[in-house]
Amino acid sequence: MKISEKILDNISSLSKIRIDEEIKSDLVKDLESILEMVEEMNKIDTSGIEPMSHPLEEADNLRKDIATKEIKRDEYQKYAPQTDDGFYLTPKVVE
Amino acid sequence: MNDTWESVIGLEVHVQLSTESKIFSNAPTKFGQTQNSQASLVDLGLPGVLPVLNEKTIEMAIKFGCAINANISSKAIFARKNYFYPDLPKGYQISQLDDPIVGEGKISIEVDNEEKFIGITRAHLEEDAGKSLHDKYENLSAIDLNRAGTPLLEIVSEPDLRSAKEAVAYLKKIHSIITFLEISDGNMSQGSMRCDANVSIRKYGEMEFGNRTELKNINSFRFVEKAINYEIDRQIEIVENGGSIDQETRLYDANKNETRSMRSKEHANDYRYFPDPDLIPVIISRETIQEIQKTLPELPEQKISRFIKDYKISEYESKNLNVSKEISSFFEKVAKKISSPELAAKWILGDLMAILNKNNSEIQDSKISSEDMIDLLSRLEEGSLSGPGAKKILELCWSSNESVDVLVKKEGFDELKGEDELLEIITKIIKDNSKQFEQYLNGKDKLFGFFVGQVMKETKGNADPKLVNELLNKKLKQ
Repeated sequence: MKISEKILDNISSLSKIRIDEEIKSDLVKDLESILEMVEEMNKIDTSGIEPMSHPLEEADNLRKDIATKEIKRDEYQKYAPQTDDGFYLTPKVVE
Repeated sequence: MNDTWESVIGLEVHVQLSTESKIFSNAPTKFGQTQNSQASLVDLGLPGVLPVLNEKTIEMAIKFGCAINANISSKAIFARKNYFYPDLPKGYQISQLDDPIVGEGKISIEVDNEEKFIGITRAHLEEDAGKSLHDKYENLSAIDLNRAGTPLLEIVSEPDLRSAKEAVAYLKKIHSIITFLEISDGNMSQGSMRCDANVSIRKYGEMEFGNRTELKNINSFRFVEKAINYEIDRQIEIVENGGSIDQETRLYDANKNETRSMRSKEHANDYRYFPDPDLIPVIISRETIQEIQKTLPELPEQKISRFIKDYKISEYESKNLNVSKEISSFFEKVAKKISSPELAAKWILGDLMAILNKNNSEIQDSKISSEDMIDLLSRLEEGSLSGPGAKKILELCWSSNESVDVLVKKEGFDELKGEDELLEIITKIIKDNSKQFEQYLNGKDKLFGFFVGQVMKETKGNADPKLVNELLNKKLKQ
């Protein structure tokens, strides 16, 4: 599969990663080679094999419904670049 | 309605599950708390944290599945739905794509006395996002992540609904199922139940669906009907004028009663779902499902038939009493304590509902308790309180916050006029209304009601109507 300029732009916008003009051609090569590998994998006959969503199955992985009282908001907010009045602040994003 | 165009509607309903803690973290889920005081490190999406599934959410989803006779998946898999928005700090929402916990089922609705079955495609578990406030700061968005991670059950219907009215009936049915099951408080004004509607139109008889629009942001039964009707009219107008419908997401604006295009959603979303490697599949055994099935409470339909049978009330009354769990249990508390359950049905659906509606209130916030109602109706049954008197007490009970017992004494309703006192009043009324009395004697029987009214007015309702009738009969015929 070929990666067109349009597909590359779409990937860039979905992942919110800006792609500089000068690396575009190298990136296209890389992405195409990844897709080639996937195409190679798709050739394997998997009929009769049940899809697996996770290598581990059947484990006790549930939690009781008990709420903690220990929410240390002030401490957590130290990690954020900008907060005010208990809010986390981000550049204005209006949908 | 239009004779040419048929509307085709499917609903996606998001139900907030009433758990103590969030779906993947142990942060509390209380509504209306200080910003970010309910957001743990998991909800904040900090690196290195891991989600751990709340077992209660699985149980609640299975309950819903059992209630609508749906297939319950033997394995539930969680997937990441990827998109970027500030109130989704992880950059993905944990949801389900393949193997949703609840598979196909159906729900019966009733519109214009006709029963109809609406297919349920699926119901899956997912986490809610946080909230963004855009008006608080000039160039910044303020993020409150209290809601982030709140468990949601998203119930997706087939495009089986054919009018806004059917959509409302369907929503009300979902509302009653989730509240009777006690898996959600169903409070629409607090966002515990939210709805997106997929709407399209086609000519009657056509098999193909038309292009559909998705309406977002509908948060009350009333708005669902208005938003869908607005959208149907808009689509008909476009198509009849030779245009075509764009497949797009539209936002309903309740203030303007219109829908408008959300341009940001112009590009088809590509959520790049994939199984969340942080969560291993949940295996659901047949035994677990059977155990949960056993704990299912009585559902609205079962209650409706039982009320008709046990309390000898009409089907109409029973249905109206069972629109919510709260009304239903309020009625049952009262009906069990008085001798005539029909009287309870009549007063709850009549006067009490009227007071609640007038005050924009729900029965669970009612200032009139079931004890007040029992007290009031018992007095009515034994004849120590008249109908108008009871009505007055009920209204006072709401406005004054005092119990029926206190109010009856305060208003003097506990001292019904005795026979002697009543006779005295009747004599005076006959004297004051000699003209009417004469007409009555000359055969104008209808005037009997006039005299009853005068007595009740004079006694301010503090008289047993039966006794008043009896005494009047005697006096007028003397």
